[in-house]
Amino acid sequence: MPKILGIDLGTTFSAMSVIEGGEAKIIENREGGRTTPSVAAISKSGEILVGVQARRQQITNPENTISVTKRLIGRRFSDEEVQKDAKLLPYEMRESKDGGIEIKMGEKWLKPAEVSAMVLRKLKQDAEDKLGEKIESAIITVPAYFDDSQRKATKVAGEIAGFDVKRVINEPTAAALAYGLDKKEDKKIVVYDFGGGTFDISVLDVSADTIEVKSTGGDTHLGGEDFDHKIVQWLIEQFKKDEGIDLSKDNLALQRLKEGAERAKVELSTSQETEINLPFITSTDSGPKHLYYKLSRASLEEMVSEFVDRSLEIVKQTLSEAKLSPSDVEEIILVGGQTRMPLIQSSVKEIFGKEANKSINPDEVVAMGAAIQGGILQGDVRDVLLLDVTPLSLGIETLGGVSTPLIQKNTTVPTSKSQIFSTAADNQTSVEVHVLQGERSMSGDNKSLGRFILDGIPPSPRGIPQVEVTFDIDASGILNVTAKDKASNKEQSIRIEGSTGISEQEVEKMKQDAKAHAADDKNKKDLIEVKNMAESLIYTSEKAIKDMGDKIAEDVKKEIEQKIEALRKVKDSDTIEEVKKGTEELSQALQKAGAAVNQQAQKEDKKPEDTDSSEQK
Amino acid sequence: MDTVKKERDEYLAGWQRAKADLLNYKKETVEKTRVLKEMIKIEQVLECLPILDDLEMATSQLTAKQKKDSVIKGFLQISERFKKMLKAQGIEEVKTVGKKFDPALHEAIGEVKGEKSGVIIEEMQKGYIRDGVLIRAAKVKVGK
Repeated sequence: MPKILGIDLGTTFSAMSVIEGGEAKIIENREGGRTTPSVAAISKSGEILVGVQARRQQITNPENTISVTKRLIGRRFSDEEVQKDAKLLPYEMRESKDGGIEIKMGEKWLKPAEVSAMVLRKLKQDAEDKLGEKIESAIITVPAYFDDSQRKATKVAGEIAGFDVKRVINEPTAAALAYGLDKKEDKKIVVYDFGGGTFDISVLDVSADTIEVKSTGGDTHLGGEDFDHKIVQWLIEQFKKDEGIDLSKDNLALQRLKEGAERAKVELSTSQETEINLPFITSTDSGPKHLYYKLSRASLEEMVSEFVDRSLEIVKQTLSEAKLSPSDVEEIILVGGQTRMPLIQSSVKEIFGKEANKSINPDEVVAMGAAIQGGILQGDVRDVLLLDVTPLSLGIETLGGVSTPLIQKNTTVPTSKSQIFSTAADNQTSVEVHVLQGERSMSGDNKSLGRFILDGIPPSPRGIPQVEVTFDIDASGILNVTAKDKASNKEQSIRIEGSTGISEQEVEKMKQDAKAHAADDKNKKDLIEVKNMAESLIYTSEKAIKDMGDKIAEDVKKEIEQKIEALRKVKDSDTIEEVKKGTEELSQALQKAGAAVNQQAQKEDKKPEDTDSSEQK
Repeated sequence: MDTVKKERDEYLAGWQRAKADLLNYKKETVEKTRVLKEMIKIEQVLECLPILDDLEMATSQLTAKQKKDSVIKGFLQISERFKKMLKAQGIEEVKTVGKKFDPALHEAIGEVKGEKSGVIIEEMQKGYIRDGVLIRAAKVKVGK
């Protein structure tokens, strides 16, 4: 089935997504970016450039580099907003015969939709390259406040780009789809969208088969860029105060300040303090000057509080227009990169008294929602194979009462896993396989599903026999556990029904238990591992003394024996550190002996070598 | 009987599909892992580049006399090691001054009047490329 491309055609950036394996996935553009600047240009040589390349040449070609067409698309030239923007935009515009807008690009006059189409065409081509297949159809998102004319013009832009535009949907609706909130009937949802250049708020009403926009509000000239700008201004002021130099006249310095400011802003979303460190920011007759300032999260929040407050005012206003109080709102969704700022998240939480949905990347959520809408239109492929998962880990008990999982929880069934185990003592002829279910580290804390004994293992030193334990769960959740001795081919098995058939509450309780005891369990498990290691080392040491006793010097032998005794004493205490220390000491003594034996062996080896060479002569 | 046959065909098709999906997924994973490794490598390089930029900036400020100072010489050597490391990873500098401005490789941050139009006059920050893929555009001033 041909894929439908979901496109978030943004004011400053656009993103695209498709459904793959039932899930929405962002597609990167040719340059490797997950978002594409919504900018198109015609270069002096007549070449059309779109995206990051158009932006890179903007400074040399401002009059032919067209950005923010989203503010113009489908509007009338005489619109107040258009007139306001026209004064700020570096390219030329005029009124078309039908009262619309025309933009001068190169020698031609184009409609905003034609310029948007250039961006959309690049997205189409890049998506086709990435996916290796033709893309014919698209879902394009628009702000909820777009009127009929703006929607139509957006659809036309898509068609000029070569798409069959299946739907033009609202951005907040797309965000709600991405979070799967379309299934929550009779719910009020607020989408708080703080993008790079615009702020939008929408109230949605979800009913059985529609998502209706109840009211919208926003500010088309309020965005994350204002935050960056504020930091840059602050840096310029500080530097002027400290050094008496105005950096705002220096292009390169300004560029570095902008990058530094954005980085600082991003870092302050996760840490409390950051530094803006720009050595050699400029130079004077007296030598180079460096810029270094610390910025705390609190100071940033103070700096930009006016912007956040403005957005919150708009939220309240929009809610009252929809005749809703914050408590009527069941879900809040955060969209736009700026919503990563902790201050925004906490302010929104304060207004509504609940956490917002923010688990999906806020720069990508709208495009993903558009892709999901595409998936809904195509209709889900009937899935005859409904596969279950094991809700809890399945494993066996190993030395010291440790629970060793073979099949991890959330593994899709049917599945089969096997692992080789061995014996713990010399001449052990049978092993007990104790099948366990649960997430705890110690077998006693997990649920026992059954046990059986495999015997007839030929007597051999510990660690030598190879017993393969296989767990196999079929599609209906029946677990078969088989243990097989590789040497004798003897095998034994158990069949456990309903290993996945524990009630949901029970599963939940076991998972909670595991979480609550995680640290404790880890300590216990670590202790047992350390003990096991100590025991194994004692065994090896004793064996070494027995096997090579005559080659080891008497004093070394004595030392080892002492260390063995010491380790044996602490082994059963419950302090990991002591057991570790004892193990370490014994291990060192053993190495010493090993080295001595090796040296001796080498010496002995050398002699015959010499005779060899003389023989050859 | 027909229903059973139909069901059987459906199940078989579903099974084959699932098996094919898995095999394809495995193949894709190999490719994806390779691409991911490359991406991580480039991400790490990108993280380091601002430090190299600062070093370059510092170097450009040195007078001929300062460059003879043995401590500074040592610093310059550190800078060289950094560049060698990039080279060893197959990362090359983007050529700038005297070349025609190309937005696929260069980012214009200013213009110089009275110079040859469309030609790069000054490099403000180095750009880097690897196997023909741009890692970071060079920041340049272009003649007007």
